[in-house]
Amino acid sequence: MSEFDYQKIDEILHSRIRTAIMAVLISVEEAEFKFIKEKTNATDGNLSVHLKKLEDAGYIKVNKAFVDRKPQSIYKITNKGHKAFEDYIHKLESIIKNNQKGDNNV
Amino acid sequence: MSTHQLESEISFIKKVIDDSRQATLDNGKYYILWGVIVGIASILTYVGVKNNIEGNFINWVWMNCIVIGWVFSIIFGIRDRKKEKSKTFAGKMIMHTWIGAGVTMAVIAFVGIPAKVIPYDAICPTIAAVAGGANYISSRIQKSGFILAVAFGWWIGAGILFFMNGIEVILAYGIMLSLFSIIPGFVLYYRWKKELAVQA
Repeated sequence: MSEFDYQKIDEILHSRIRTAIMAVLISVEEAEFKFIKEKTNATDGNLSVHLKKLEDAGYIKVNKAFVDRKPQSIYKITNKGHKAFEDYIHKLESIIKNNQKGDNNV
Repeated sequence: MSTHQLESEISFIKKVIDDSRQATLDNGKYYILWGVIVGIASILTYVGVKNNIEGNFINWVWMNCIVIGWVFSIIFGIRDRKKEKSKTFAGKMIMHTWIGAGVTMAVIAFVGIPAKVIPYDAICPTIAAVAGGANYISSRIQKSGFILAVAFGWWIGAGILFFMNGIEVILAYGIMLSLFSIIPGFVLYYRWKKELAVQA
């Protein structure tokens, strides 16, 4: 039985689409809304909701501008978001290790 | 949470990261621009030498062509960066590879010749070899077999040019520009347009 405290997992990041958004933004310097949508296969509405949640948590920031008279939203991961995502990955890996130890002890 | 679910989660995250990091698509504009500009300069050089045009005609041609090339490159670069959907490390590396190659070629041509350490015959093959190197690095970053083939084309062409003499080297170099810069530029441009249409 694993002794890992599951409540320590970041609820903000523990969502497939928000994890995917963070994975995209951690790989690039910045990305436009359309790029994130392509990489996550999300719909416009769904993606907007999740981006807002990440922005409210301080994990990403957005810069809105006009390019060729078209509105453009550019997203960037923050230092807080970077650290939170790394911690999240480490926690997932710890759970895997703990589960594997538990399986070996059975 | 099962181990399998978590491993699948991590695998998914890694895939998204890899996919995003590689996201860079060459639009071929710089290949076309520099292919045309250097092509024009090469033709004018050939005409100048064949017709014994005196004075600094050849230097004037190359100085002006290179300046025009850099101005348009900067304009394209600024416009493309505004329209980019993402800024990746891969994209930056490709940009810096070509800036480095461009400056290297300019130093070889504009310093090497006046310093009389590089003979005229050696300029084209040397610059072709540098172009091969830049294309090779770019091909590895983009994982493009097509650009890798262009790189080998430049290297093989450079090898052949080293054994040629006289003004015909410039003509051969002009043919190489068509084969390994202008034509590939159009191929990359149409591929880029097609990809944009698919993404839209």
